[in-house]
Amino acid sequence: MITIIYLSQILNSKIFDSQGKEIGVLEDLIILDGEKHAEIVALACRKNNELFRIPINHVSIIGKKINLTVIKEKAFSFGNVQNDDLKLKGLVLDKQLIDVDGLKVVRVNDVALANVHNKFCVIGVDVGIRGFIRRLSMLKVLEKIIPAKASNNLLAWEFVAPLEPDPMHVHLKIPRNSLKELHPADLADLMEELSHEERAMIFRALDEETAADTLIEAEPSVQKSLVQSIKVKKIASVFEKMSPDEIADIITMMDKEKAEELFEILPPHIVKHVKEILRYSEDSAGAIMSTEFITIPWNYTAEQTINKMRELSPSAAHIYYIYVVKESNELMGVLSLRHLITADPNKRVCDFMNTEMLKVHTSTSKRDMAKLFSKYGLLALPVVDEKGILKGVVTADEVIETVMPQAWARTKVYHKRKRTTKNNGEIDKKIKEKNKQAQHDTRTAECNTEN
Amino acid sequence: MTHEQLSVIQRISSSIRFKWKGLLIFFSLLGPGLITAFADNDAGGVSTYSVAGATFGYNVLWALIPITIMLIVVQEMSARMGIVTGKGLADLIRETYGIRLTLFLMSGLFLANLATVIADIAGIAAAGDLLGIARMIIVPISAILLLVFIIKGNYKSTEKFFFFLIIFYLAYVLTGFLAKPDWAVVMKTTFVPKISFTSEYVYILIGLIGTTITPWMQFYLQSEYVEKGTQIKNYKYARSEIVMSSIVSDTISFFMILTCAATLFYAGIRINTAQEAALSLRPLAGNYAYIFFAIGLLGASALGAIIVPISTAFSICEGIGFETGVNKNFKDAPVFYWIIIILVAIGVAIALIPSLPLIKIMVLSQVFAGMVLPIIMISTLKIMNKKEIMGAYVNSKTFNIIAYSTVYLTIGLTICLLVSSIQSIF
Repeated sequence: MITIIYLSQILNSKIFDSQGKEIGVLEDLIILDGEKHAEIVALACRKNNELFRIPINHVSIIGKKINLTVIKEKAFSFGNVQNDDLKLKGLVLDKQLIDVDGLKVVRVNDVALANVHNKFCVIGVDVGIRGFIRRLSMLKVLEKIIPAKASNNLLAWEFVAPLEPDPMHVHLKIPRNSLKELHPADLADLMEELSHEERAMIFRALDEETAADTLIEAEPSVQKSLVQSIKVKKIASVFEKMSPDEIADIITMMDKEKAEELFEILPPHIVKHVKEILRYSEDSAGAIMSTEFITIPWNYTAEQTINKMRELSPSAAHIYYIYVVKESNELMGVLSLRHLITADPNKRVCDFMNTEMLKVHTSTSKRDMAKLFSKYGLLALPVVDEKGILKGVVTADEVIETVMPQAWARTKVYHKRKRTTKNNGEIDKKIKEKNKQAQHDTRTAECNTEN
Repeated sequence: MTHEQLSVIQRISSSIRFKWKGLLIFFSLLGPGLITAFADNDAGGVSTYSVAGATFGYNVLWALIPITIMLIVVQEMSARMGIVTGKGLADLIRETYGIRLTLFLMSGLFLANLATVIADIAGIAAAGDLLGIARMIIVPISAILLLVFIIKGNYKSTEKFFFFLIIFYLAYVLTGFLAKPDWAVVMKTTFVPKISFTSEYVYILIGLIGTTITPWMQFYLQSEYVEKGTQIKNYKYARSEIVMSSIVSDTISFFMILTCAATLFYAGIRINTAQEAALSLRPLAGNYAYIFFAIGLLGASALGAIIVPISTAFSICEGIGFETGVNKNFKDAPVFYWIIIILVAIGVAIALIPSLPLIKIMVLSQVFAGMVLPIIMISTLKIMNKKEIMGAYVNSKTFNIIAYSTVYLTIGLTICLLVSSIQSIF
């Protein structure tokens, strides 16, 4: 009673027709990709350098020997294997796939097939050493040396994603949902281990929001390879989910022509901000400042201000300080959240704001800002130009990130990895559940075969 | 200034700027090729060149010209393959040839690289001999340090440090001049091949090929270009870097042979120990020759002993499908780390065999690497000629001719050597 058959065990098996005549050998299997399993729809039978497509419903036994229920002439009457047929061996065996849950790139050593609900299906891929040895037909010899349980590395089909779809073929399934569920920081980590084409491939499969976060989280080398290999249109849509300073960071890595092209497609208000940031030298406040901040006209009352804040519902990074400006956007003073809440609601903000605040110029260096942050224990600093016009806000974390010595930067990666393992833990549980489900499926399949 | 003048100036300045940009890209790419080319002059390389010069005088100089051309062709292919496919060589081998051939090629690679690692650790032992440090002390300590560097540290910066030590080999270029060779003879022997078919000569020829065009180099170089993400349009810069660094590296090799020929060969000294090899530097360094040689040897050996095990582990894991990467921990990528540890451990065990003829072992390792080279090269060449993999960048006819002649030449030499050594037994 066979429950799981491996592709390596049946490839090159002889195929016999209903009269017991040998008509060829099994070259490949043609599959139809599905959500959980990929159904095998036909055999690719090799006969004199020609590949014939024999539908699976004409097959009675599949194993070391393959028997058909039809005669030779009938078997060969379904025509040749087409270019757009999904070939299991050609597309999957020996290729690298993404293990979507384990966040790894894996090598397919063998493919597991089984009967599921009376259909002959691909249920998973073997990425372990056992699969490798089985392929070498040395399993029996080595079975004693390598214990079976230690190396059972079967990945459920629904958890693998292909890296490179052959343009000639219809895409093998891309479980976009599973990829989307990953944390962008983890995706960015995963991308480091891939080749450029592979990175681009995953990147294209992401939605804009996730793609933007992944791009921001990625290492500079990965960012560079991504923006170079992705089409301008996709980058533009991803950029729309990013802040101008983040865009500026990435745009500096691109070719001049590609950047120009992008500026033409992007909405004018984004382009204006980005170009402004690009004007500043890399080390200056202007280059790293965020242009998203909250300003309040000087003649607002405390109550009006609070209402405005509710309306804007700013993100956490920008809520601590509220900047008070003149009509010309000239910075007059700053309010802390505590100031605002404790003030008389009818009092005008210019009457209780702090006018003696610290501010930096757009050209102030990161090092100097870092000193200010550490000396005064601030969370953010306003950035002004020569005329005192408020241009942006620099937050402490951005400065820390840039002046931090290399040794520290590594700890950040460490934390990222820790998060990966945590996620893996959760995912492991998920896999176990799925595996149980798969076992259940195969068991059902067994029953079906017995029936 | 008229409008025209202005526009001319603008055009000139923009063209200058363009050149600057080109130069900058060139320098940023300057790296993989040069490091690889220099690491080729590792312990095995130095000893092979020294022995060649001391044994055959100027009569082996000519070999460096065809070898340099082969080196350029092979390195260029590796870079092109990496840049076009974005994949490592082991990856391509697995996807093209399937499982059995991959295993066979990886075993060959493992053995050739093991030989190189043994040579490099023997090089450390030899440097210890010269500096008066006992082998039992310097070999285990440096092996442990190397493993710590590989596993815990940033091996890229370590690599650069040892790369810097190799600069000591420039001493060979200076000594080459100070030794006052007969330049007329040097010119003649360089450009007019004079081949003798003794087994010793063929042995050294294979060693010279094997130490310059190493199997590990192809894997390492390709993965470096893949990792750098060099774009196809910058490929011409990569190409010029390869040409330049191959010539620089082989020029140093040339002077190693030349110096040893001008000093040792004419003094009738045949190299059996590192001390004798170091003597060649006397015209420049006098009594400090030992120290110069030892530091250069130490740097080259350490560089090789770091790069080669990592490259081997990467290639094998990539081909067979184990987790790889120095940024993974031991638990996640056990096979990767075990390969490195086993390579270094075998190297240490062999280098510590009492009164081992280190120089002989180092040369032998390169001869062995040379014998394995054709197997790896044939598999590379098959991929290089596949349109579905390389697209418009398949090998040109000239490249195929040069590369295949390298392959058949090495096979031919190997057969010659085997035949003559079998004859000598009877």
